[in-house]
Amino acid sequence: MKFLVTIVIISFFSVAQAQSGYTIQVVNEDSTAVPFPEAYIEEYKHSFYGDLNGLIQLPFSETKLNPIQISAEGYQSRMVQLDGNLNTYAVILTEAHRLLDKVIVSTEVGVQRESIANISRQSISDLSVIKSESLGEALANMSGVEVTGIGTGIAKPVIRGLSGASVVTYVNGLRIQNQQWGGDHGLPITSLGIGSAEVVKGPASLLYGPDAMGGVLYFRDEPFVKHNTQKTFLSTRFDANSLGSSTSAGYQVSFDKWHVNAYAGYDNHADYRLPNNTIVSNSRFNQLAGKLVLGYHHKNWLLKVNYDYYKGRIGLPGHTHEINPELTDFLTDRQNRGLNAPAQDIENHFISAESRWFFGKNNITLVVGNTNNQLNEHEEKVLTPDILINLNNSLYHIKWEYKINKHFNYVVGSQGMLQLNRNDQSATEILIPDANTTDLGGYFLFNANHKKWRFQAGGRYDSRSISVTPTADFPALERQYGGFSFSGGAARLSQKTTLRFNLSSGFRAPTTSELLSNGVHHGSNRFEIGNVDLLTENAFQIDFSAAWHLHDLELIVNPFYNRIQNYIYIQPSNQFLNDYRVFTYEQTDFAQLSGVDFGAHYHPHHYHWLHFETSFATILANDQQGNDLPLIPQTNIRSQVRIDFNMKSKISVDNLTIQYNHFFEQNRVGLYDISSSAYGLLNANVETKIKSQTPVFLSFGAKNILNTEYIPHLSSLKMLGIQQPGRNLYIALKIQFEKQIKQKP
Amino acid sequence: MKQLLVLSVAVFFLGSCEKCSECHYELNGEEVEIGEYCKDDLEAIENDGFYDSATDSTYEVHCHEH
Repeated sequence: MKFLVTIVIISFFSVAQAQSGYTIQVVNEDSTAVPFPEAYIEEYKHSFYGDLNGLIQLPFSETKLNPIQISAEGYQSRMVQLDGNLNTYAVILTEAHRLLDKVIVSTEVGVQRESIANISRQSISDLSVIKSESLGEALANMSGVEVTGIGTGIAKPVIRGLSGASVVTYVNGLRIQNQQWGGDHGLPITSLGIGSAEVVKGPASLLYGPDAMGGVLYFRDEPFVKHNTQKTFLSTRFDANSLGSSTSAGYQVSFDKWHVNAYAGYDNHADYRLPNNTIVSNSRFNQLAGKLVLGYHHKNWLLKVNYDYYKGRIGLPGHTHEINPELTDFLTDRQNRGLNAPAQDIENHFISAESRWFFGKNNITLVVGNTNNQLNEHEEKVLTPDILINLNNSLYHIKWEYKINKHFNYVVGSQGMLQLNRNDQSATEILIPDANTTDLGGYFLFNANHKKWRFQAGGRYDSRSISVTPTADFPALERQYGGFSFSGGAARLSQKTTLRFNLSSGFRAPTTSELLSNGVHHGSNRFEIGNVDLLTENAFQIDFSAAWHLHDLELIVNPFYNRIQNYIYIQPSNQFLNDYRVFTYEQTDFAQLSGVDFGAHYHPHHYHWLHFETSFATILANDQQGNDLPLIPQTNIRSQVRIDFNMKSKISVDNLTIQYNHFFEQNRVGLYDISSSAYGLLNANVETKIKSQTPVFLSFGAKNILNTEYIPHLSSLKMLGIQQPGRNLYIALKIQFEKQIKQKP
Repeated sequence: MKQLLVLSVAVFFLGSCEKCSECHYELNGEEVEIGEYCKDDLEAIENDGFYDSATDSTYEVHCHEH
């Protein structure tokens, strides 16, 4: 019973329809009140805090909420389902352990531990224990997630071997797009204001729409601050390797019904330095980001409005005018950060509004949004771009959730998108045509639970129409695609073991770039040629996971098999056009990706301050003839030791983290791809704190401490022999103010 | 709070937004440096080229590093 979530009935004198709020009493295993607990409510994106006596007051009476996450410092999180039959609950929290199979509340899937699908979720602060220069790079700290990219400015997540158009990215319910078919088009957001990242591994079209073949990245904002409170922070970091700075500031305020989070950030990095102390020319980047989040709730209605802005200029290293280039042609001895070419100029505006209504057992959610991505690529001129493409998406997602009884519920939903791709008239190069793409889909999902078992099944149909405007460069093209996808499975949950078995599918229609590309893409150093005969891809994944949650030890093993019919890939050839290697889009009957993720966390019971974590991920990928697919991540083991200090002094060391990531050699390569050598990276970080009314957090760290020379297998600079950065020392500072707002008497 | 605001604004404007670059053109396989150009002048010389009265010719200009 010690580890069971125990909800004790304290009061029976209320009924569901007559409530004015809930009270939650939080105690520990000794029945002593846990001071200042937190109740996080996903639908509100907001936490309610308890007092010194462990009492949390929730000022609403909705009954169709996802389970509420109760947490407190030093304790494991627990879930409480407010079912409307009571108005007072007691929750017993047990001592904290760092968990691999974390308790996740998601408006899409409910509680992760009770979900049948495997979803990894980590807070941005956990992902950034070793500071990263980009959000994409930070995501690679999750098992099964790698990055492909160009230098340090462009980092694009790869989930279970797939990336680009096969990975769908969401920010708070809004699907975002940025010409992600391009290998050089990185993640279009920064970590500014983002609280956590979730990764769904494998096809997940049922809940996230078409194109989710490899997986889904789902970013969630930081929650609003507690009622009648304002919080301000300023943080800055300096990276010695790139002489780079990353600065951000934020202001958060919450009133009774209104909540505001506002952020701004600016990063500027010069060209990075190799282990041998030379500089990679034009690897510089700078980016400016802003974010505004407004929340409002009134009775049974919740509203959240998000606006994200991004503007970046990202240098594209690996450029030379030499006919027979050598590695030294890409290197320099001067570390610059000024205007240069080739480069990308990117400007994004993402806006969305999410509304939720609660009516008894019904919950209706409507998300509408618009994303606008302006991509300008400078090839030879630093101020006049050659490629100017605007991608505008208008999207909606509506879903109705109905709780039949405590054992059954279902969700019915629809998603749609109108996408307009336009080349500017001043563009001297047009890589992909002007096109209108329309998506429309509908889905049904049924959930059931009985004792320790959870069951889920659902289906979805999507249609996509593509209409290409004819020009001198491209013929007219009209295409209609349709696809059915499904997901189903079961999970058995007990306190010490979790078993999940899931079958899921995904559907992806070819993009206009895959159909009609015809030209030099400087960003990826390729001449790309499309194929109008491409068919839709269909993925089918079998995923099984078993987790053991022992007292000192937690283990997770997660094998998978993903088969993709009509697999589309880009194939290097031995032909050259305009001095660039020709890459053509091809399709094979099927491809299969299989592998296993393994994770372990050891936490000696008598040494609570010590944590050992390790994860292992491997993927095998080949086509129907048994040929290896190109650009599949290296097998890797990531290990981390963390020591938490519990210092009471005014200046304290909070923790020390030492990380060693080993990447095995990759010899399973596709045609014209090249193999990669093994390498290991040693990183470390120390976090300190100066306690005061305005606490100051100071971090010191080092990445690639051993100054290892390495080239990741997925690097777009691999063919040119350009390595990743050498040793980087960094220092980060954060100052935080928090203040209660005076309430009117 | 005011101090923090001032500090934030100051940090934000520390980044240089100057749009300047050293430019050159190629003549007989050699790079001929023509100095630094900024903003509109930079855009103009990149698009229109550099006119050399000595040779009465206009040359295509490159303003990025090699």
